[in-house]
Amino acid sequence: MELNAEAKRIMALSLGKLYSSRMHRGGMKLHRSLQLSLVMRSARDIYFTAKLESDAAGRQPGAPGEDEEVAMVTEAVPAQPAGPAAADPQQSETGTEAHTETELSPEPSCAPAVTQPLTEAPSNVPARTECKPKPAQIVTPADKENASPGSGCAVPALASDRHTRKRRGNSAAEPEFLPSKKARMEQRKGGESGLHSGSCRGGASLASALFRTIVAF
Amino acid sequence: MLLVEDGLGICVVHLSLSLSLSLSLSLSGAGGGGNDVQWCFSQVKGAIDDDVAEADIISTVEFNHSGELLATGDKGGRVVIFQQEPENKSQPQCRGEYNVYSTFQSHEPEFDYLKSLEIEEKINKIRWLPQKNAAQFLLSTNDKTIKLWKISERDKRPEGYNLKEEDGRYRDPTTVTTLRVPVFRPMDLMVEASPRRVFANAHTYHINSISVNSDYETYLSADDLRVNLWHLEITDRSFNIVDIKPANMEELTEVITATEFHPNQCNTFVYSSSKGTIRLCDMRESALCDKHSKLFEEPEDPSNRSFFSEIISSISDVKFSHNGRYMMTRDYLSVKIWDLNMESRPVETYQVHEYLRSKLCSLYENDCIFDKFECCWNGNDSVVMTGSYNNFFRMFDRGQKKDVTLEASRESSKPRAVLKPRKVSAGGKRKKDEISVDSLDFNKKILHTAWHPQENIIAVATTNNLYIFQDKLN
Repeated sequence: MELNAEAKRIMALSLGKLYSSRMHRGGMKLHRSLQLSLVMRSARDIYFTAKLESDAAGRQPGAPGEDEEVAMVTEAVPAQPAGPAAADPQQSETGTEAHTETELSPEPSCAPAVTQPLTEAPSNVPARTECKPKPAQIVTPADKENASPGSGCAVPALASDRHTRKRRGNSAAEPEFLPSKKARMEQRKGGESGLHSGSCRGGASLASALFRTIVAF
Repeated sequence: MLLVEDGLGICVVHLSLSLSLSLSLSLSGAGGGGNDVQWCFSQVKGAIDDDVAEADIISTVEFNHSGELLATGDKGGRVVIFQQEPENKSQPQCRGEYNVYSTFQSHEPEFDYLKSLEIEEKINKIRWLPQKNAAQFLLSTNDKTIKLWKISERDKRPEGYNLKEEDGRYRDPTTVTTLRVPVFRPMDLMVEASPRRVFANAHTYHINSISVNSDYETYLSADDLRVNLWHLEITDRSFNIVDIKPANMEELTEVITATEFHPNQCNTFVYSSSKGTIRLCDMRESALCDKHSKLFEEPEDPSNRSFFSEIISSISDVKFSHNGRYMMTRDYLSVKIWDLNMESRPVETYQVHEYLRSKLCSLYENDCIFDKFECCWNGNDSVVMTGSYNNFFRMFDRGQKKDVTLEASRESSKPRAVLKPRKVSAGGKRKKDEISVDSLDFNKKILHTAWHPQENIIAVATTNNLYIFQDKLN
């Protein structure tokens, strides 16, 4: 499970770095974007492996729902190298896109789970950003992409997963930064009113920002 | 009797107990190094204050072919050239100091309107051309444009024009009663830098290397996905000789990280990749060298797998040895020496800062894992050098199998002060004078180093200072 948490943290960190690299002078560096996507992929693979192992150990049937959330975000991840790579010859829109997307991106923080701090010197403090997901302006085109059945997410399973998890009060298992289907399900089913809408919006905003990144490229 | 051939010629050496001594004598002047050498502080260039202006950050350092000139490029697009003073006849043991010879703005920030992107003026690389006449030439490049600069001296000027006064004002022709021939008179030395060629618009991605060919007519430039071949005289076209861009960018798995021409085979060059492989290409085989002649790759050690093992295997620099038999690569944690005749694995591997392997996650968080360290050979290819963190730099003596860690700091900057070897304690008990890994300053990194082609003089760039060290002469 520690590996799981570490993998999730690294994925979040990488997304933040990928996002902030768009603001760098001189544009996105292809090599760096590639390296970030490689790390994200490693983290995703390890996350999935660990998840499968824990599932195989005989957990509740509701568990797979979380996998699908990860799948949704990380299906976007392989597109990441394409994103920055394809961007260079066609980056005319990024100038304007960047402005609108900045307000959306909740950059994940570096959780204190890191085992060894490097140094006490103040100059060495890595750039830490707030983890608070902002209440998002959900972008319609991206969310349509989210909601489409072809996106590879098993939506009905998630609904039951929510019910299951809520009943069991096991909110720790839910990754906050990953996009959650709750908002969509609530709209569709007209069911549970936003009990988790805060975190759900935050998660969705990250997903939508990620998808917009890809769409923009 | 033993016949030894090296880059300097063939020497006959008597096989005896003093074999190593004979070898070093026969290679005299080529610059040995390593642990027998004591390194002393010589000079430091740059501002003293700790508040570093971003434009002053040194981004490249390069000696010219004679070692008389030392060029640095910075993030602000400026090139500063230092010249070594001629040796003082009264003090023959003391090598000349390096003083500023010329400073000029090589590149300016530009804006790509089509892509709405700023093009940084940071100088990524400087490469000197061999000297053919009184003037010096160098190539400097930023992310998109390469420029050929001519640096020439002017120490005379014509005086005694008929139609002009000395200050340049035109004389009234009616006042001219006699004719005289203008003569050259000495003036204060003026060093002029002028851009002679601008090689632009050939790279979609960011240029990471340039390399002058041994034919002294062509050079190559490389970005993340392509390598282009230029003729020094022709600016409006270049030949693409390597293109690794996939048809579908989503299938991109590796990028080009460094390229270099072979030092004496004008048809051969190598390029390194982000996957830790090096490809050697022969331009005689085909116009497009996508198919390599040799592929140098070491299988990954499975015990070292982590989230980050893929990215730390990325090669940040590749340099041929002066004799052209070996090449050296630098990845995040190590330096590897490859024999060009053996593709399966390097012949030597040196760990630069293995104690960082357990810190990769933190180094990823603070972006240090993306630092691109360079490496260099000494004049006779017996010692290699590379930088590290905390303003440490490392030298590996290939022959003696010894290594040393030194520090470029203001504290050890007394004239001719001998540098004390440093040691980092990996863990457990920290001995006296050792530094623990956790107290290393990761903002103080030495990415760029250069070694004089003949002497034991090295230039080491910290963030915004250039340190010059030389070996202690007795």
